[in-house]
Amino acid sequence: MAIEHVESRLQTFMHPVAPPPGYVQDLGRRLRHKTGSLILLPQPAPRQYTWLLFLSLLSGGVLLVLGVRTLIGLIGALGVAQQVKNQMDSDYPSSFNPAG
Amino acid sequence: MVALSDDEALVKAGEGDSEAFGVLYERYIGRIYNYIYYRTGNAYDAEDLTARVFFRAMHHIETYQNRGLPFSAWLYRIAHNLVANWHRDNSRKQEIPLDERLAAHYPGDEHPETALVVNEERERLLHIIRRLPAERQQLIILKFVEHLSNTEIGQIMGRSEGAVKSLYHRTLLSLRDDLEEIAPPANAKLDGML
Repeated sequence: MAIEHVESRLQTFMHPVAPPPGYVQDLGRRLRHKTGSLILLPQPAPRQYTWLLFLSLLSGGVLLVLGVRTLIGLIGALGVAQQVKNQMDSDYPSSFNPAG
Repeated sequence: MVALSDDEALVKAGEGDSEAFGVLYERYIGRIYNYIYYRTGNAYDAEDLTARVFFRAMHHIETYQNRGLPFSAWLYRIAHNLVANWHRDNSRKQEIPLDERLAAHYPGDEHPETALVVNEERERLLHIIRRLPAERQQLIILKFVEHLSNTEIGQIMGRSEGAVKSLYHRTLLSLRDDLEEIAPPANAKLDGML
């Protein structure tokens, strides 16, 4: 069998097959409905990703420093309060002692 | 809207314009359906997989990057991957013959015996084609169903025009050997009818 003969058979038997019109319309409707319900977020470019990462790390660092400072401030305030209380207790040891 | 070029429609579709995606859908639904239909051999799976191709394309359209290839190449690649998964999942199932839709191409005024032989021969040829490696099947479908040139086929398959020609020649030789191997008397009988 010659190769031309194989080509001739392929031309004879391979035909385009149209999808059913109802299917095409239905799928088109489903796609449109799906697209309408999609919230398409703009995709950041790679450079934007770098900036986003940098700014995230920076703001994270700032928040961490602020948090540590607040904690130190709180501990300091508690220490001062405790010191004042101790001092008051030592200054007036018998004032509240009815037996004294 | 229908007059949009592929590139224009792609930009708009990437921005979430459903009408623009609809233009691309209507432009390529027939080609993708045909490709999948011949690869799977039945209308039911062709419809299911075609729908998946377009849903996947729609979900990833915003990440599509124009590299100078036709948009159809991207769609064919999605279809190719989905069909490959389908074949893997169905590898243990019995092969389903092509449905009656292809028979509609042959007028009913043929002699019944002739029609029977022609149908048998068509089934045999398509059966042999579906046993070919995936890329050879793709080549045959793009060439004989879609009537694409070697250049266009090369763009879709990611090969040079020369490589497509070479693959086509090897595919024809392989088909010829398979046709001669399987039921030569029927082929000889058909030769006189065609």
